[in-house]
Amino acid sequence: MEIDEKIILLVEDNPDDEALTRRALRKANVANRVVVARDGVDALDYLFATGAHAGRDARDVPQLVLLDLKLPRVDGLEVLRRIRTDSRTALLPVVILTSSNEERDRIQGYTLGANSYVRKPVDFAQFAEAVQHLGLYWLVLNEGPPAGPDR
Amino acid sequence: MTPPAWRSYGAAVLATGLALGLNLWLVPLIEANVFPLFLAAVTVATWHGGLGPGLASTVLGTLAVALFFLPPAMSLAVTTPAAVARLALFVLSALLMTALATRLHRARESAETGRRAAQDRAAASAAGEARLRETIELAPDGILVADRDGRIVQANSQVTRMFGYEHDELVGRPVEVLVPARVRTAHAGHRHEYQASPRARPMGVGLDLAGVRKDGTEVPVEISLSPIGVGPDQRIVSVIRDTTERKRAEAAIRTLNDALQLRVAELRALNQELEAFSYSVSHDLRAPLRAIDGFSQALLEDCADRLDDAGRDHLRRVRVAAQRMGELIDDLLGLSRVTRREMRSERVDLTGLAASIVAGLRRNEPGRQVATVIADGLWAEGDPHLLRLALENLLGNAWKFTARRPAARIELGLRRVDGPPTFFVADNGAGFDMAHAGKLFGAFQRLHAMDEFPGTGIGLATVQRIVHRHGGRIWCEAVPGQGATFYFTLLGGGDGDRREDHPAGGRQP
Repeated sequence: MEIDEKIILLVEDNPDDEALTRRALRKANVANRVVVARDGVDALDYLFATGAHAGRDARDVPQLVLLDLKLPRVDGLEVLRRIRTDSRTALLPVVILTSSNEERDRIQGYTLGANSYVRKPVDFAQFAEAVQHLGLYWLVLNEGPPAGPDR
Repeated sequence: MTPPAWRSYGAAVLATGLALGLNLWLVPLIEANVFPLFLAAVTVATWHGGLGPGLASTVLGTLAVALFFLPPAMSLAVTTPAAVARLALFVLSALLMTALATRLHRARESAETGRRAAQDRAAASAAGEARLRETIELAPDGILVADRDGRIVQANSQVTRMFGYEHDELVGRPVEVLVPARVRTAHAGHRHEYQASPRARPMGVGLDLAGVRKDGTEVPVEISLSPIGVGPDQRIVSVIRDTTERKRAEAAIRTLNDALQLRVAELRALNQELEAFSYSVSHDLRAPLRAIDGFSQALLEDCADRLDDAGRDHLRRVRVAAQRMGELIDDLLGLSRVTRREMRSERVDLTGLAASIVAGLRRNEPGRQVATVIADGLWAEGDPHLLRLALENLLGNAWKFTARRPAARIELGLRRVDGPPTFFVADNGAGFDMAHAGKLFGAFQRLHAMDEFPGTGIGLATVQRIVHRHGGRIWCEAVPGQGATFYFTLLGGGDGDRREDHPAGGRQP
């Protein structure tokens, strides 16, 4: 895996899902540091170094955002919209990782510029497989966007 | 008018005969003076019958004179010059009389004709007037005629009934007597304006007009005005319609409409609630299941050495149960999506659809040998996605329940008995007892044990909803151990004839 430690931002309000996702990433040998945001506000504060995360270097953009849709305070689709409208994060790879397979959510997710939409299966074996594919694709195979204007 | 010819000529003969008889009887008194009576006969015959009978009477009279009254007696021969002269005189007089009387006769006839024509005209005019009066009387609307000064000249029975007056009570009074007091002055003003430029038009367009009854109550009306004639004799005709019933009906429709709007709003709210519920189920109910399954797996992996076989079996059962609940939730969501989904309608090739579904089933279980018979040219008018889902479930069921049949057979076809075209999916599989058929289409209803035939029991409920959304009906026939046939109708669709595509046992993929 990558030598320089790139951050994965996991936006997930459910600690069980967080633990399972971490386990799945570990099984897939993804060693990146995982930062967890518990809700939409927390996620946006982290990304833009505001609120609780004021003082963080906002230029240090995560390599990948795993975004749940149903979140307290600000929901996932709104987080995605703000990520895409801010020049600092406009090109940031965002994978929606959610329980919902409602057509509406998929359409809105892609419309707002999600890079992928993955439904979390109940079966952990399938979930682990999905996370493994995600890690392989987005952290290894995929060439990220060139450094933004602020960097 | 003119009497028939036989009567005219008969009268001529009769009159002449009468003159002859009288003359014969009076000969002793009047001697040879027989001409006046014959001339009278000619006159009467002509006056009564016109020229022809007059001439006839003249000829008969001449013959009678020659025969009876001129020498030689009892002979038509006239020998003496005096006799010839007398006869000639008679004929001349008779012809003169005939000519004169003919004119008289014609004058009388034309007078008669004129009188009859006048009579007919009068009768026709009276009938026309009666019809007009009847028309006005029986008109479904009130008709009120007023003169230039706004005084009522005529009112039909609808007006008297509508306003509670007798006809005579209205005639001669100003029309304002029928106008509510609050607008009476204004009405008189409007009437004068109308008088200035009278033309046919509705009154008070866009206004709720009202009339006032004798007892003071008001009646909602609609009035149209039209002038008849010009000058001082001009009349204004008002057609008045009582709109009470219509207003009541309109109010009823409004009430119904409001109620309907309310129901629509309620339904919309309910639908939104259902939507939110489904979304929540989809999202929130699956999260704990993921935790149950995931941590059971973690336990199996991380603590395998501290678990005995029984412990590991328990955990496996926990995982299977969690996964099954996940499937149930997904199927339930699918079912609710069938209801919520917006329908498209297009011509769907059911034969092609079924063939591709069967091909998919064969791919999944290449070991199965199933003969499938799909009728050619089946089509339906409907939502392609939903119709595919329905066929997937029906054919999938048939596939599943024939699993233990060595010579499994599945057929999709069309049956036309009375009524709409009926599609059917038949299999020779496990079948079921028709006593339980009523439960078949309910969600989560299963007629077989889980370890016998797996499934969530939601497929047929889904099919039924799809069929209902297409305005159709679904039912089934089955015999335990011999197979089941599911019949369904759709609003549009049909055609098709049989095609044995895998008659030998179906080994094609």
